[in-house]
Amino acid sequence: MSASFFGQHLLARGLITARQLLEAMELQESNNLRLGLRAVEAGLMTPAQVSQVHLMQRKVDRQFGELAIECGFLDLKAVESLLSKQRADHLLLSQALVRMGVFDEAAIAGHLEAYAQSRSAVPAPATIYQGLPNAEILSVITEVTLKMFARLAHSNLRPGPCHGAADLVSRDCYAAEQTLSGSLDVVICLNLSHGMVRRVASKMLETEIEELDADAIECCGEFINVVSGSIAGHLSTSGHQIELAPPEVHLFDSSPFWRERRRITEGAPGDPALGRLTVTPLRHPLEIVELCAAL
Amino acid sequence: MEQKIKVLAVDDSRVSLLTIKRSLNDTEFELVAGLSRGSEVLERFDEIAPDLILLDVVMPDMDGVTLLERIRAHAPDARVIMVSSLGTREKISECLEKGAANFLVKPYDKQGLITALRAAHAAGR
Repeated sequence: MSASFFGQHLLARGLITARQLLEAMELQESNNLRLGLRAVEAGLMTPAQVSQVHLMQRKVDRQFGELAIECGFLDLKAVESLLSKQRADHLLLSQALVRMGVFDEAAIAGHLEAYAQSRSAVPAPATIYQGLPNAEILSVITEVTLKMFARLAHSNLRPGPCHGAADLVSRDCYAAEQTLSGSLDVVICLNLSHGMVRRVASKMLETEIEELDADAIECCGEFINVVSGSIAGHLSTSGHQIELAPPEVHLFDSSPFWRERRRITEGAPGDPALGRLTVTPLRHPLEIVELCAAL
Repeated sequence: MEQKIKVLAVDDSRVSLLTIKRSLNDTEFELVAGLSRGSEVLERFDEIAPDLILLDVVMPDMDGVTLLERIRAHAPDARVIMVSSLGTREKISECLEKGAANFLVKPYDKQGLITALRAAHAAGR
């Protein structure tokens, strides 16, 4: 489970401690009981019946209440009553922090507004992955990457239609790559033109970078690390448990990621591995950026 | 002049170490050492004698959580703030359970860093 994006926003700004965040999340959990647990507490279902519905939910993408009615465990009136109670009790992280006395109402409203502004700065990656396998995960990866370019490199990029590795635009570039492993195995690679490496490094080091020295290259490693960590946090909201390998940055030609996929980049039509790799151009008026995800 | 609070930062990224160093300028904190390898930490811990430690969770030569445990075994009062771009609840919980004073999620800003250091320092006095 992610430590809530609003929670991370507060944590990164030193507005709460990690312990306060965990306590607030525990308070949320004790209030935001799932429907099955509520049904058991109300004496309407047995734990075994709840488990049976959960098992069914693994096979079909349907709501708990819907399936419980279908199995004859609950009627519509009971489900509506449980849902109404669930909505009434639902506690947001912001409300939990106020209840704990960490913030008052005025302070939390200000923090929520600042958080909303930071999120609205980046557009969602629209529908470019519609119909592709793993479309939802690819959307998360792109959205987070765009957000980090805006926040850390002050560069607003726009995702273009994705393509295969055979259509890579940028070969005279640096490849910043990182592996995410666990319940999902993903390799993320950002191909960055030299100009974009300079932009990223200049912003991260807060000084104008002319030469692409070791520190400038390392900024790309730190950049992909922050991108990957944030992606992993987002994916953990859907139950994934992910660990990060250390980031790597290489010239395109010596990149392990691309060397491994040379067969694909040189064009092997029908190669099944091609299906695992998606390349999304992230458009910038002057620079070339390609977001590559293998999963 | 009042003595500054000594901070040891452990991160394989030189950029992170540079950013920390810059962020601590004109504050009550001083980055007395920036180490890029986890394995160096215990070797040099007593020599550096830090008041506070900023410790990266993901490093190539050693897992930050393992190092946290070793630091706490070596110096039970050590105040360690874990730093990672991966801020999942499980990771934060694991670090706090193993004795971390706080957990900072990257990318953090200067104010976030200073506030976390001040809180950890105050808690240890």
